[in-house]
Amino acid sequence: MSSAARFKPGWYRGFCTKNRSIKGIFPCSYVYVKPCKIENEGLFETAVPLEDPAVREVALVLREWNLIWKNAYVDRETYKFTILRKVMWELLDWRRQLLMGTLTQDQTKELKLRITSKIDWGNRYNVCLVSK
Amino acid sequence: MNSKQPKMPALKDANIVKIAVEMDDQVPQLIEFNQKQPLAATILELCNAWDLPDASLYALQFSENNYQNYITEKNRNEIKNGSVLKLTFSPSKTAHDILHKLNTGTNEEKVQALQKLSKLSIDTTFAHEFISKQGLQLIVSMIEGGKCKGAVLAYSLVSFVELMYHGIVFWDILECPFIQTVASYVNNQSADAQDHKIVQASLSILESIVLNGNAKKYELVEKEVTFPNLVAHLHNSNPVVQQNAMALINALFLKADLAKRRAVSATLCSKQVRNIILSNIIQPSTEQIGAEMAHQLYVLQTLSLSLLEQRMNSKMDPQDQDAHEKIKELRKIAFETDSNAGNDSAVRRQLGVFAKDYKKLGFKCDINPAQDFMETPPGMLALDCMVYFARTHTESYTKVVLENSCRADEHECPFGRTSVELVRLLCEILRIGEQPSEQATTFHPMFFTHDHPFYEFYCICIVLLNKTWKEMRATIEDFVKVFSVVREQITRALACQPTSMEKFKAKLQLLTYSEITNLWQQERTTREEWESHAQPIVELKEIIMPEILDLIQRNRIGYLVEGTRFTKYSPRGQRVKDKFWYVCLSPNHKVFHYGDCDEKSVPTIEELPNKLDVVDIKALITGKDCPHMRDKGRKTTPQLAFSLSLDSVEMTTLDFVAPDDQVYGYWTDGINALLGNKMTSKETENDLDTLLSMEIKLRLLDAEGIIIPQEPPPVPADPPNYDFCHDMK
Repeated sequence: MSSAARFKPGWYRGFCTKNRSIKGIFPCSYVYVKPCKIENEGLFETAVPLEDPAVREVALVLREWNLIWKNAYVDRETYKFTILRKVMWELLDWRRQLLMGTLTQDQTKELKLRITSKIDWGNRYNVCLVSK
Repeated sequence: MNSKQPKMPALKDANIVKIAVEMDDQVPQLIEFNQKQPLAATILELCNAWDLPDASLYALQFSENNYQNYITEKNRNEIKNGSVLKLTFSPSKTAHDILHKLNTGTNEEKVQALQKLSKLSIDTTFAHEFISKQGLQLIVSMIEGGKCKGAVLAYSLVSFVELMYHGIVFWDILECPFIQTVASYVNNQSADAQDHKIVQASLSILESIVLNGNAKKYELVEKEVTFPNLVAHLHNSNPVVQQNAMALINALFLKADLAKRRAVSATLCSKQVRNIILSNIIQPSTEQIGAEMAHQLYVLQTLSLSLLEQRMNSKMDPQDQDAHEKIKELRKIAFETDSNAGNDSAVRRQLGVFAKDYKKLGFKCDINPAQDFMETPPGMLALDCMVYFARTHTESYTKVVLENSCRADEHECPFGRTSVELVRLLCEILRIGEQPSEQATTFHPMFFTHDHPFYEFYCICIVLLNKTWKEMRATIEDFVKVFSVVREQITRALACQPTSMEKFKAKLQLLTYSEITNLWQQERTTREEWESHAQPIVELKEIIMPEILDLIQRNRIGYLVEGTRFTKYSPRGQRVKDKFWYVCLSPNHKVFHYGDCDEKSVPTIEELPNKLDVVDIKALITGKDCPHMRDKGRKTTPQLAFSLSLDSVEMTTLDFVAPDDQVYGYWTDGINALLGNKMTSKETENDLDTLLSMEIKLRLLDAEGIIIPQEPPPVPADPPNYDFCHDMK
């Protein structure tokens, strides 16, 4: 939620990554530091988390689909709502498996393929329905 | 305590406890015991009340069943309101009396005095008193002569154990004749009528001498009692004798130097001794082994395994011909079949061919596999294990090696590398090289069932590792991951304390890779379930809730706009056959339109003649309270009925019966939403759960894998200032 922090003992200072003008300080005990890479160091630096790109991709896709999914609920598109929900839970679970770090190379490769094809399917499905 | 309220008496009471004091042949006294007053003064008061002349002869004692210590200035604060104390002769007087009886009394009197002594000696206060009166010397001399028999001997030994327990006197004071006498009671197997107490105490005394005395005393004990004699006590039916014998064996084992230890271990690990331990201690009731015996078995296991420490911590010496021969032997067993042995070995001795084979064997350094044993732990122990595997389980060994050396893909499991790492892991799991801990009670019965338990353990685990490697379709990059699974498999199987190597194997068979994954998954789910009740998550849910409820409202109102066909019911709640009506909400959510319709078609809003303004709806009535459901006893369905009560003259209610639960739920939700009421249907509950759980998951995507605390951590004090400087290098 927040990034780019410099600290005093016990506190971090940071801002909201979505809106840099929202700033604040945070007790260190409330903060979990993720490994990340600083790009464009200086006033306009950005921190890119050092996660597997697939993990980040899934997160982005899920947030995007969440809006579509909720619209499907309001519009009572029951089939779309149900199937998207199933696929989203699948993606959540797969992402978690990737993050757990207990998969072998082979399994990781295979899982990423599955994730990619699922995302492709979902995007086609969503676009196709949106354009309808 | 808060002193604001004037509770003076309560404050004063803090030093005064109300107690009862008893004395043999006297009427008990109830007194207020003042913690500030010296004990002697209290005792004087008690003596006066009972008319006892010399108060200095008396002392107070606790009088609970298992706690009868004398009360001193040190432990007097253990006296609480309601305690029952006993006035009795002082430690000094009692010690004096006992000594007198021991010196001059009849045998009968001696037995009584010793019995009393054995009980009182548990109390440090008394022990000090008795020892300062040279009592211990007397007991030692009584035992030493070997003249005592029966009860006198038994109680003397027990008293001695208790007196020594307090650490007032060093064990080194004991001389050769005493040790010999005590040892003779341990060695004397013949008398089956021998008192258990004598053997128990003797074993315990010798154990303490070994553990606490100097090296000379150890040698003496070791000379006097022989292992066969001690082992014979393991046959004893008395569990305390067994336990004390085991403890003495362990003490002798622990204090021995390395050379002697090997000899001791050889004796203890011999099939004969192992079988005695197995059949007399472990097998009768694995579940009911007492904590102390379990601890002794743990110590024995730890000491036996610790003999591997030296090999575990030694690197391979490049000059070690024996080790080089072992490496060659590994190669030979794997790749030289009987037919081509000998004749072409001269040709094959070319380094290139060997290196190729070593590569197949999965060594890290195929030019010189000796390099693979330079790291400690596991050092040479790994080589020992591998050679043992190759020699004693040749078939499994060749299978493992050949299976992996013939694979063309990257999925081979390198035998050498994985063996070295596995042996390291096994040493870690079994904590080889650590001193036995004081409390641990975890021992592995299966280690008492084999001549070479560790090697055998490795052989089972290396086969498991290969199986898991295959199940995971692992490559060399997955080395660490495979080991995390294997570690889980081994520790879980060990935790069941299998009674034999076979049972351990069988347990491992069940703990396949997918089983471990399942277990991990379950643990994660449990943790997530637990986390969903964590305060931060509960608070987040409450924040998100209104947003989700808004979605549900919009869903329900949308449903009303679409409209529903209802079956017609008579005002008395009877279904009218083949008659239907249709109701829908106007797109601006202000008016309900309704009218008759047929079974199939959906009328447009313009086709519905009747209108009802939402503002005119007074309330929603459901179930039996509906006017059309009031006639009881008929074939009605009140759980699907609802009515709108109206603020209008021509019509007081509009009555519905929904075709099913879902329509009923959606309609009542929709109307409640329009009226600004809470939606109460089961459908709302389900939808809320579905939407909320997804929303929470998605909000916490970035926190995946982080453990969320049940309670938020404390917020530290504000920083002294807010100058957070941007220090840039």
